[in-house]
Amino acid sequence: MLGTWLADFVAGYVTISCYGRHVPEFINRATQNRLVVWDISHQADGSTRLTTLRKNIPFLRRIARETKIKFRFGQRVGLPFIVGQVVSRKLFLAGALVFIVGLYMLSSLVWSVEVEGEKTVSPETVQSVAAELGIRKWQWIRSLPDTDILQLKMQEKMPQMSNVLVILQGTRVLIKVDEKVPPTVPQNTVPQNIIAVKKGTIRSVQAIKGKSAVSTGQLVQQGQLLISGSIGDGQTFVAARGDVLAEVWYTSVIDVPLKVNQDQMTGEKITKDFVVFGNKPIQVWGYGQSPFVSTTAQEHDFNLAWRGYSLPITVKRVDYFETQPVEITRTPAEARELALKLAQNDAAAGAGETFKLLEQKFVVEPEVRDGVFHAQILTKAEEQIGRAEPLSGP
Amino acid sequence: MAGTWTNRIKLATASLLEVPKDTLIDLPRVTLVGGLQLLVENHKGIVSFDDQVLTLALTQGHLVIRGHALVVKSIFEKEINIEGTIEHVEYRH
Repeated sequence: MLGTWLADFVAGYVTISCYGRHVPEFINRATQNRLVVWDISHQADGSTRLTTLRKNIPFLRRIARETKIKFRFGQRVGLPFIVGQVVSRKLFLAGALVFIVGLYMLSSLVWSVEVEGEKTVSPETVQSVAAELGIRKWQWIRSLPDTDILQLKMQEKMPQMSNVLVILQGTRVLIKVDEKVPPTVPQNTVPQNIIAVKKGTIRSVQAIKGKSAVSTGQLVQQGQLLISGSIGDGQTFVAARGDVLAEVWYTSVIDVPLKVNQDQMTGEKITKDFVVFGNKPIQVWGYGQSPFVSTTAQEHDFNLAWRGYSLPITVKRVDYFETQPVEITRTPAEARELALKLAQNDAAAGAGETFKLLEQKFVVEPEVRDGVFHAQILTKAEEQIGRAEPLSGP
Repeated sequence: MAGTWTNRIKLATASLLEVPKDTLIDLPRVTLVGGLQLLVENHKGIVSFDDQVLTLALTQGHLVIRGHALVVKSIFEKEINIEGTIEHVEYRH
């Protein structure tokens, strides 16, 4: 049933209303001539409606003339009519063609190059190496050599990789890399001493290798030997290693104004939205004059991405927060606390990573002069003071 | 037609061999499916047609079909398929 309908659809069929007295005669002659008609029904206006294949129409017309029947065409169904309609609309056809060609072209371009499995090497490095071989965005996929060849070339160009896989997934190129595991760096065996980088009082000495030359509580000067690489009879030299923690003093002069003018947000804001193509921002929302006297701006970028494909379009939202100048007054107690904090930061910056705060004190009693809190603060910190220095031969 | 010498022999043979008579001579075979569908084989064309009465020509006489909303679903040289509410099938010699 569906099969016959499909065949009829491909051939195209027409509904015809027949007017005249000799409709049965007309139908009989049609059947005698092996012209297939179906769905013959009597209409309220006295006509007879029937359906037939498009190709039968010229023959039916002849029979109709002979039997004095008049036709009126109704519905036309089928592929030939659709094709006819489409062909008569040239622009539509051109559009369809452009669409198909466009789709084909776009699907034969590389849309993204992705890197997987990298650890220390940045994906951009891998991508730039791939780009040298032609694996880059907007590249014709067909113009790329075989992935086996690409893999080999990638491998040659990136000796730090133990394995490079180039996988073509439709319009996406996936580069899977395996980095070579670097061999462990051997311990330095060149004879060396550990010396002090700054003046301080030793709190602890732990010589992992070598002989400690100082003891706890001892004041050391900058450049003084802390752990010696020369051991035993003075004939054997090793690479001295160890931790030397010392107490170091830092003096900071801190001025804290008691009155400060600062911009504070009022909570009011306006938002502007931009669409950024490449580097060109185009505002799409939030036109108009800013009603605020002073503002601070905060930007948020949203990259449009779908299933790992990122578009070259960014949506930028800028919030302008209204600000108001506010006078902040500090009590001397607050200023004192702030001064201590600033002094600690000062010391921490000088001490480096191993900084540990021990004690803070004012060198002289702080005083408030002209609305400014003046203080001189001594910060006691514990830190590593050892530094390796190659030992020149005896 | 049934009275001719050859047909008489054919009919006699059909009853002797117990085969349906329409297989040997041009007799119509009418199949009615539940008052909804009527299939007539070996018809000789439509005589008159509207949605209530349909008259078919047969080798001998007519077949008058009465009902509602009669539609000829398909028509071929030897076969016609009628659908609708069939109320009355009359054989006119």
